Order: sequence, then C-alpha cells, then structure tokens
Amino acid sequence: MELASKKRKRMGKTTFICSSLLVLAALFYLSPFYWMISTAFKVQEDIISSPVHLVPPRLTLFHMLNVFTEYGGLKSLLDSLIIASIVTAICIIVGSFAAYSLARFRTGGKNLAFWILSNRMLPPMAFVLPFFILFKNWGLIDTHRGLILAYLTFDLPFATWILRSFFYKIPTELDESAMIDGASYITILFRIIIPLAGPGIAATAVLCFVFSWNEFLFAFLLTRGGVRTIPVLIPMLYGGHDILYGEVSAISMVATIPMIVLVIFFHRYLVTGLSLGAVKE
Amino acid sequence: MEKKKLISWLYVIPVIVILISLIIFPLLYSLYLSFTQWDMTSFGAKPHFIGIGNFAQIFTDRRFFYDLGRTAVVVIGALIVETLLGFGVALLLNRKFKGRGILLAAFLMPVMVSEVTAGLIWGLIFDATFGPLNQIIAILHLAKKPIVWLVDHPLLSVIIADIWQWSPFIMLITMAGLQALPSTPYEAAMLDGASGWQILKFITLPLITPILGVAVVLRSMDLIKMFGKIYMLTKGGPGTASETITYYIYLQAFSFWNLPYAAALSFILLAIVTFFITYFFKMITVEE
Repeated sequence: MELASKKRKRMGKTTFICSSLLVLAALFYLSPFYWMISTAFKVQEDIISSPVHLVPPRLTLFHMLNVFTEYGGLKSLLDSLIIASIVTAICIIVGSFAAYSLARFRTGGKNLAFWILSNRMLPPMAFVLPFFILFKNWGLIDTHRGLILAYLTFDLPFATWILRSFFYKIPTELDESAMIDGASYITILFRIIIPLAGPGIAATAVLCFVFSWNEFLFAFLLTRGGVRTIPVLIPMLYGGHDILYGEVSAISMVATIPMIVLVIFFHRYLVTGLSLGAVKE
Repeated sequence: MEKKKLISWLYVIPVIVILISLIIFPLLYSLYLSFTQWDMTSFGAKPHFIGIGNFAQIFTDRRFFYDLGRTAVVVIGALIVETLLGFGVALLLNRKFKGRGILLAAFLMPVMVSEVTAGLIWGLIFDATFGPLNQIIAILHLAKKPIVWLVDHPLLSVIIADIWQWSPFIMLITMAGLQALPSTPYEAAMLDGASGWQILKFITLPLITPILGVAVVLRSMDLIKMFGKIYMLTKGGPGTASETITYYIYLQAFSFWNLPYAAALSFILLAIVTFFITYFFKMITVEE
C-alpha cells in the first residue's frame, strides 16, 4: 500500500515536470506565430511604439487590405497559385507513370531510382547559375513557364520517388489477376494502382504544392517583378525604406494558413514525405 | 516479354529526359562556365576559356575558407540543438494524455512555413527597437541595454530561426521511430526493474539512433543549402559575419557578377552535398 502511494506521488511529480516542459516547448513554437498574427492586426503606431506592446491595444484590418490593394498581394497569391498548381499536376502525372514502372518492373534497378531521388537533394544554388544564363537566352526569365521548369528539378524527383514507395505497397496479386483478364498496363495503372494509392497520391500532391509555394531562391533570382510569388514579395516589403511590418505579416499569414491546414489533413504522410521516404509510418 | 520491357522504359523516360535537360545539361553548362572568364558588367562580352584558373583561385580565397568554417558552425550548432530539442520533446509527447494530437500538430506548424516567412517572423522578434524579445529581456532585467540581435549575434540569430523551424522535423521523425519500436525489450527491462534513465540509455537510444541518423543527414544538407533565412535576417552581414558558402556563391554571381567563379565554387558545394547524398543512400533501406 505504502509503496503504491509513493509510486503515485513520484508519477505525479514526473507528470508535473513533463507538463511544464511541454508548456515551455509550446511557448517556443507558438509564440512566434502569435507575434506575426498580432503584428498583422496592430495599428501602425502600436507596431512602431516604444515600449513594445506585447498585446495589441487596438485591432485593425488596414494592413490586411492595404497589402492587397497597394502592394500587389493578390497578384502574388495568383502567381504562386498558378505556378504551384501546374508544377504539382505535371509531377503527379509524369511521376505516376515513372513510379509505376519503377515499383512494378524495377526498371533500371535500384540505381535508376536512387539517381532520380538524388536530384532532389542537390543544392539549387548550383542550378540557378546556369538557369540564369540559359533562361535569359531562351526568354524564360520572369515567366511562369521558367519557374515551372525550375521547380520540376526538386518536385519531380520527389514525386516519383515517394509515389514509387506508395505504389510498392499495393499487393501485386491485383495487377496479376487484371493482367490475366487481359488488362493493359495503362488500364492497370489507372484502374487499380492510382485508385488504391489515392490518399498517398493526394499527400504527395500536397507536399509538391507546399514545396513550390514556399520556394524562394529560384523565384527570387529568375524573375524581375513581372512574376512575383509570395516568398519574393515578403523580403521586398520587409527590406524597403518604409516600415511595412503590418503588411508583410498580413501577407505571410495569408500565405501560411492554407499550408498549415493542408498539412493538418495530411499529417499522417508528413514523416514519409519530409524524410524522403527513409522513415515510413 | 519484350513488349513489357519496352513499355516499362517508356513510362520512366519522360522523367529521365526532364531531369537530364533540367539538371544534367545545365550543370554541364555550368561546368563549362567555371573554366571561363566573363566580364558580365561590360555589354556584349562573351565568356572565354581560361582553364582551371577559377578553381585555382578558390584555394587562395580566404573568404571562401572562412565561409566554409561558418557553414560548419551553422550545421553543427543547429544540428546539436535541433536533435536534442526534437528528441526531447518527442519523448515528452510519447505518452498518452489529452490533447496530445493537437499539441503535435501545433508543434509541426513551423515546418510548413516558407523559409522567408520563418526569417520574417524572427526578424520581427529580433528587431532591436520594435521587437518583443528585447522588451521581454528588459522586463525580466536580463540585460542592461537592448541587444541588437542581428548585428551583435547574426549567426546565432540565423541558427535560432532554423532551430525553431526544423527541430519539429526531428521531433516528427523520432516519434515515428518510437512508435515502431518493439515492446519486448521494454517489458523485459521493466521486469528487471530498470530505471527510466537506464531504459532510455540502453534501449531507446540504441534503437532510435539509425532513424535519427537519417534525419541528421537530411538536415545537414538543408542547412548547407540554407539561403532564404540568411537573406531575410542578415544578408550575410554585418560584413561577412553570417555568410555561408551558399550565400557566398550567391554574392559572387549576383552581386559581384563573377558567374564563372561562382560556378567553380558551386562545384565545391556540389561535392560536399554529394558526399551527404551517398551517405544517405547507405543509411536507408529500400524495398526491392
């Protein structure tokens, strides 16, 4: 009896320590978001006041509207949306065929699959130099097409590799029996593999979209203002002469919320996606 | 049988063609550039071949070696904290309690933010005059005068922003690893009356190390490639205080307009990253 109560006491103490540590962790991970959101809704005088207002004394939608009407927020959202959607569509379509071939026929063996994935890990800074010259010669600077091509360098290897691991999990008996019934490879891919890998394909699409949506280096160096994705707009507003902390926080918040919502829906696949398939759940 | 082979190659060929034209071909062009000299500031000038001059120059470029060192500091510094923090929080979350799912989802939010937004958020926090951090420090009487974070501690500021954004990734991977652990060794250890610390040290850690290794290799590569956060927070400065190799290549190409030299430098970067890629492939298991 005495032992049990002692144990319970010890457990209570550990739980208390664990909970306090978790509260600290939550503070570290969440308070930066709080600061961005509160800055977006603060009145300008309260943003640039000293001492700093940790809690906004007044709230306003001024910056939120201003960034869309005066600073091209809407066009940036559209540019980001167009580019990310097209890149995602290409990656899923082209990637599905390749993934099917890699998963079912071991085309090119392990080496081809590895080579495809390795492209995902190469440093973009190494491609952006030749892209800058080549795109200039081909008239691709400052176009949606140019950025779409650039984004394929990281999203296509990623999509192919991840889809391959999802397709691999589908039992081969299904395609074999379809084959006996005389189904062609393309029928098997579209009628069996793709429907069965539905959630995995959706998760891959979401991650491809997020990677394109968030990309900065290519978007920054291969455009001149005609095409301006949100990650390019943010440093422009932040680094200028005027203090546009409210506007830049507002547009960052608007750009971030959809990504977070998508990821909450697909968090089950986040481990596989972010670890490039090395860790499976 | 022949038809099967033909079709299977037909399906992968689009990916191969795209990757060759978008990656291999540009890299070959970049390799050619790295053997040339090109005065891009004068109109109409063409690159002309000079041999290995650019590569030879790297060896006498002190700034490059300082940047190499700084890159190592960023990678090692951020990795140590990210691993400890991510692993620690994962252990805390690895028990049943109410709201665990919500908490995990909340902790993962920084991962989905673009590096530019992460830079912005921390830029606002570190802001010397309008930032909350100095205000909190003043309230708690931790420092006598305001700290100009991005000037006094530029590298540390960049590292902190990265820890905030990417330690949840280590957390996520560790959690997945912990869930996949077999329960038998734990039951045996409990029976033998092992303490929590002993269980952690002799069972959990050895079992989780391989998975943690993969995460560390992936993080190292991303840290070497980091660009947006540095651009947002410090632009490599003050002076060169927070300049990494990636940032130096950017400056050589797009600020000093010495693209051939930047191309030569980028091949050093490629070599370093390739080393990590080979290591990554050695660590992972692939279904075959």
